Amino acid sequence: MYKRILFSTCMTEYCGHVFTFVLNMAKENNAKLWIYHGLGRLNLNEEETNRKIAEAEAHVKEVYGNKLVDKALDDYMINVSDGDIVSEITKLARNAKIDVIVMGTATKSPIAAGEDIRVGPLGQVTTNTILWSPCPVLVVPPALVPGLTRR
Amino acid sequence: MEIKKILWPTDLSKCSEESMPQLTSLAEKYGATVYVLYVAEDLAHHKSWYGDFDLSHINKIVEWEKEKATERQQEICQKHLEDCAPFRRHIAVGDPAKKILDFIGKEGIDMVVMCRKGEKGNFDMGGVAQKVVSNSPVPVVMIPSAP
Repeated sequence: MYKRILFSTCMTEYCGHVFTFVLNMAKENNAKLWIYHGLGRLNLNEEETNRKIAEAEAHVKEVYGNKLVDKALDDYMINVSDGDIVSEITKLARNAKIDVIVMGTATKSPIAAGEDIRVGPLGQVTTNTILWSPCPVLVVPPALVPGLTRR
Repeated sequence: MEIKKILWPTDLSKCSEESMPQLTSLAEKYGATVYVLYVAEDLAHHKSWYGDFDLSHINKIVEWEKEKATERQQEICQKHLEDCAPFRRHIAVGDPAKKILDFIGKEGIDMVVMCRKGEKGNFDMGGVAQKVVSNSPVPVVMIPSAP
């Protein structure tokens, strides 16, 4: 069904939960996984930009590496770039012929146990990715995060 | 990841039919039942704004809409779903986003598949789609519509 999955992350704790969902999905579908982390517009010189990207890549590997090993998922790629995040996500989705993009609702989503699951307006990146994406976008709600209060 | 009930909220438009290939693939992959939901607008709620009027006219319009929606639902389900997934048809009357969110809770839906834009298509993302994706307690797959 989904053979090429793109997971877009802002590296928050909430995204960690979305990543668990994505891992299960990738494993079930025997899919290749792209992990994308956008840095936004940096306004730095080339050397500093490259350093920031390398640091972010290392951070993504550090945060998600163990989960990937635990799930025995070898077929993955980590992409980090600067620039407009939505443009970068949609460009990557088009170039890599992604079947589905998976992401959370908003960076500022409730995450602590006991918090209400209701989110504010949908985040800008998610909203615009849904609008401009060349493929379906699967939005994973905070309600799936264990421990949050259900309505 | 267990997905046994997939909700397809539809305004029965051509736009929403574009989500069919995704919907049927997901239903087949997970062996899920598809719940087809159409929500007719509750016209009677305008009553209090403009004073009294004959409610029977409104009821007649709502009944007519439900009848036509049932026919169109049947047509779409026969065309796309009959051979590939078990399905159940539902029609509700009220605020579409609210009814969809209520339905998710009431029926224990595991996933929602919907087109990002409805029939009216006045806005980039449909108002109903935006409300559902913001408040749904289950994953929502938003299908891009043709430009």
